Amino acid sequence: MSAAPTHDELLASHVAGRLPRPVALLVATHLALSPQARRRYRCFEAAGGVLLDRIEPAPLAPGAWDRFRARLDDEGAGGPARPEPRPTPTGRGELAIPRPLRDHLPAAPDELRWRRSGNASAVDLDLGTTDYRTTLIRVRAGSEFPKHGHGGLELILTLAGGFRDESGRYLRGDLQIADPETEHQPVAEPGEDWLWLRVLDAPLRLSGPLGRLKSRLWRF
Amino acid sequence: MASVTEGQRGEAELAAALTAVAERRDRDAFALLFAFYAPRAKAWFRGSGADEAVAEELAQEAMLAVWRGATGFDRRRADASTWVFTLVRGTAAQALRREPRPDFDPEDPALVAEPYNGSSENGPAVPPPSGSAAQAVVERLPDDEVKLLRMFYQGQEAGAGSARLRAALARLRDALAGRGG
Repeated sequence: MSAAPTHDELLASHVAGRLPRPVALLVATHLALSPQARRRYRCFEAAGGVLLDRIEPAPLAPGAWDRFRARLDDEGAGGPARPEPRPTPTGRGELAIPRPLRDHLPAAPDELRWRRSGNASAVDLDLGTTDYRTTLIRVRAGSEFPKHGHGGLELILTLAGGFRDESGRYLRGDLQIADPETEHQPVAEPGEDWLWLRVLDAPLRLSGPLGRLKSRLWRF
Repeated sequence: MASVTEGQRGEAELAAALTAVAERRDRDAFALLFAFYAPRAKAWFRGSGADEAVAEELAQEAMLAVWRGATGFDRRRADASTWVFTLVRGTAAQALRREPRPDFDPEDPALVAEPYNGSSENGPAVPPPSGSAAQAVVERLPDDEVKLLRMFYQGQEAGAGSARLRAALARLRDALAGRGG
């Protein structure tokens, strides 16, 4: 992806079902945390309904309804499918992490195995693709994340705590979209640890002296 | 039946038919839904790149999803066409053998709920846009913009990421959510 998508594009792309899996996971988790984003999302969904409604209908093959009725007979008299009940989260960590992210973690939120590096620790998520890196990151409250630029797209969804950078302040549920134009130095807000989900489609580039060397050694 | 597919149907009529299917497995009500939505679903799949035979089959699959899932329709949450659209989208994904896309769960206790009043900085809480409001907005868009939007929703690459698409999306959102929404 060369130019970064806008917030609207991400939401509408999710409505259209055209996002790659890691990005869809992040956007859906953003929607769970942000009522404001959900309202926008519902707008784009309603538009999808209208676009379907107003499409020029394609005539069906002769006998389509009869064929369909025969399929209904095969369905039998069984009642409509009901969604399976899903387990209710109980732990404190589980309540901080909404679906669908919670369902895609390698372990229960309170039992994750974090790899540590300086002020931050991280857990990688396996979403069945090597085109993106999807990582849950925890940065100690008040500490800095190294200044870096981007080889591609970086999506930052704040789950708890928050951070500040040159562009503003981001709290729980807020989504930041960084692209190759962006260079930033996030600083975690004091108080609570900053917990966030990151989706990257290219490695980050550390800025400053020895940036290239540090990029290779840096574990995030 | 053929004449029904040509015309438009009111939201109330479609929603009532879906409710009848959900509550009593009403086949007559479903015949109306089939007549309205199956040719539209077929056209949608054609636009997504399916050939005539595949689109015909996928339209059947989508209508089966409507039949099976009717109890999940909640007219307080979405209009009939919006809800059917989500099933058409799911059918398309299934045809491409994609896993279901990760989505949020409105019943998840960890979901951050809409505030009850206008006290938050996010602005006042508003109900989801109705299909008729969306209808009115789409009617005001120029034809080629509607076409561009539809192609985007159908999953086509052409036009994705273009400035015109961005403008059309922003216009949709502003008109439906109200400015600052």
